[in-house]
Amino acid sequence: MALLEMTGVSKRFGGVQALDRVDLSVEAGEIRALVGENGSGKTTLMRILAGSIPPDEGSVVIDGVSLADMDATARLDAGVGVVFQEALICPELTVAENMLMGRLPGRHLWVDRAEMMETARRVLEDADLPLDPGQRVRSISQDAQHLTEVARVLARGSRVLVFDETTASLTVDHVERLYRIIRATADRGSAVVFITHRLHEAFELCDTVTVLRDGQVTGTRVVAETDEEEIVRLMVGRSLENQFYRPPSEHGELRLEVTSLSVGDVRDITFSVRSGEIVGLGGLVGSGRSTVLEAVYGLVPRDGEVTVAGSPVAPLDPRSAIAAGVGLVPEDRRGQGLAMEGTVEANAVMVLTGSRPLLSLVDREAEEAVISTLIEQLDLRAAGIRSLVRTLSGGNQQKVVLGRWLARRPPVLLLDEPTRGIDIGAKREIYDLIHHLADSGTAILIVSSELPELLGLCDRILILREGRIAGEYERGVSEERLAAAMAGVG
Amino acid sequence: MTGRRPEEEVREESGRPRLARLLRDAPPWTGVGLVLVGMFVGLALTEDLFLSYTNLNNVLRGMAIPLLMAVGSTILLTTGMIDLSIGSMLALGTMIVAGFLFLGLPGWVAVLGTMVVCGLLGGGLNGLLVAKAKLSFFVVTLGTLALFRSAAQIPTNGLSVQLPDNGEFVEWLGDGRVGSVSVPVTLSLGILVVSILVMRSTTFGRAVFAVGGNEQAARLAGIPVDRVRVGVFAINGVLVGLAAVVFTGRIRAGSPLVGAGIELEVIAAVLLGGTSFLGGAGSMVGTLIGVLFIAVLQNGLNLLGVQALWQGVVTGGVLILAVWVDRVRRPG
Repeated sequence: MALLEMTGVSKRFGGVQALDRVDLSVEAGEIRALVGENGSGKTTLMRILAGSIPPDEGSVVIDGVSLADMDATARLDAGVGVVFQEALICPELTVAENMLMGRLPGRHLWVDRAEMMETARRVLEDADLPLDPGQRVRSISQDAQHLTEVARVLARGSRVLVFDETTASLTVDHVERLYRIIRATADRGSAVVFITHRLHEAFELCDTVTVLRDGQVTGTRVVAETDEEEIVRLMVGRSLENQFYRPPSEHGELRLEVTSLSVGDVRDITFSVRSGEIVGLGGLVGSGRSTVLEAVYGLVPRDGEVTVAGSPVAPLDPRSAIAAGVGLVPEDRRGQGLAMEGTVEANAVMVLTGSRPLLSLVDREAEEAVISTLIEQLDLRAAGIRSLVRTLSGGNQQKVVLGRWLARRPPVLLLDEPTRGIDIGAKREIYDLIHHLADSGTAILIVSSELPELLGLCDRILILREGRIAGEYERGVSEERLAAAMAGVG
Repeated sequence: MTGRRPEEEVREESGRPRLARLLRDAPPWTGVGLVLVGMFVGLALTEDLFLSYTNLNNVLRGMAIPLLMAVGSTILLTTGMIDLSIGSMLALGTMIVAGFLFLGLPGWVAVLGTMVVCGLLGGGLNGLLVAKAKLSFFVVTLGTLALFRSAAQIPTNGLSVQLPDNGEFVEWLGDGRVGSVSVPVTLSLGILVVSILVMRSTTFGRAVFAVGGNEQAARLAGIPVDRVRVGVFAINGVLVGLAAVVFTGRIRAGSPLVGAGIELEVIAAVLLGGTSFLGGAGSMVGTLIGVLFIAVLQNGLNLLGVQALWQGVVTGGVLILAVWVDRVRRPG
């Protein structure tokens, strides 16, 4: 009997069968990767395990004990620890308070602060996590906030641990640290479920891998006996060869010129992008990649010049950037990109709305054009243009954000992590679209944390390190050289 | 314009049973509408007086002022905001109309003047403080709630003033009729129709939905968010000004004490009509149904002999219920 046994778990949301008789059993000491495209049911399965939603059918058993009658709190005590994608922390509390939330040491109403700090410190030291237990979570970096979340699960001494795309929001060195923590807990006899979009992580860290597709398990393999090709096939039902390939192309006149751009820690950035050129902006989290895009677009105050096709763009004024022909696809779809409760239609016409005077009638023909571009060119999959964006998969949501700009054919497009958190199939389509845009003359600047993505898409790659350009590389550079430039070695 | 919406060409992500789709596609005010019909039929069957001309006329006339105010609040709430000061502004508005008339201005000048002043108070004070100074709408309009009420009371030490002889036009707007058609009822329905067109067919209307749906996303898309916010508060002010004119005409006086608590009734009607408390989704038709709902409810309570003192319990309960329904409909 495995430590974690999920048997025949099914769940429907309205008309969508999110999970269909899923079996998942993980032994003590095992690290299991759970992979699958977006919407394949990974997170739903883990929410059922944590008790945040009830399954329609099926059982969850830990160490021979059924969790059926336990609510989320009881499951925590039973040893289930889930690190969810979105940090569930209280920003006004300290790291220690967040870690020990719900089980603070002390008597009656009073908290024993000394013991709380001591316990937190011990857990952090054991795990080699560089966090100060006394610091308020609000004042620490995003990265550290996610580590706090990890520390909380560790502090509970959970026997079944789940990491839901935890690595997506961590920098490279913290990913390594997380690996060590996960290996150590597995060695102590925990069962670990590790959800990731990056297959190489599954191969580096995990013993076994289970693939979900459309709510069904399509296969479970021992990592040593399979390869990425097979896993991708299980995920998408087809194999994706030549995931990136773009023949070198002709570049036209200068479209975007950035001269001596400085914002806070970002200093003296100078570069240019030509018509039809795709330029990548790489670097570790915190190196200032997104800041550069935001400064060009006028979202943050800046020093230095930005010109588009020769004419200067006013600082701190997105409308001036848009008028000059710049489009931005922000990293944070939920926060900056979309009205999640709005319809596809309403979200799609947002840029068009922004480009027209407030006191004007709606241009229905132009709106129809935006929407038909979205549906035809981007192959949007939704129940209708009136369906809510919230009900779309991540990939289709991203298509809506991109689609807004397409009808305008912007001379310059800034893309911040355009494929973050979307499945392989949709990724492919977005790559095709980026290529297509470049071929039709758009100058494209892409920020991405995924080196293979930069290598596959870009004609030229700029690496930022600590707010400065640390190197410029042509197409064909090796992944190792880029990684070294980002980290500042070599 | 092509006849066919591209909607039909979008592929279905999943098949849905017909009933589920019907529920999903039904406008958010369907439930309230059905209850309203039920209430109407119930009252018609049990209370003889309900269907009488006088009574129905009273219901409609009572609806005009809340409807004018609710149109403004619907636009505001669609951007995710509420103006708590509208009751006080209503009182101030009645004093302003009366004041203009006492200055000997012609009726129509007094009316337009009141609408402009209220628009400036709404846009210039509430709007600018929220949009430019980045203060919370709750705090700002709670402040102006007190401020407007005081300002209304100061000139006359809190006493009402009868309208002078040149108040005929204002009285006509508030209580007049053309043939058997009530002027204020027609006026409020006319404003409702105009607002439906504005929300559906102007760039401003689109921008209102975008700002309410996600302010950041709207800003990134180039929508002048601050101007939209100021504009929405200004429009709301103008409509409250118009409601104040109607009120003044109806009671034939300027009164600094009217309108206390009416903001709750108005906001309850807007929420009942399916405009989301979170912004980004709103419906003028729904607001009309919400206003009708509260008007018929209050009328029914009167006919059933429920004491006026108890009516707040019902209105308050309905308000909470409306927000609850909104919450259930749009899970976190």
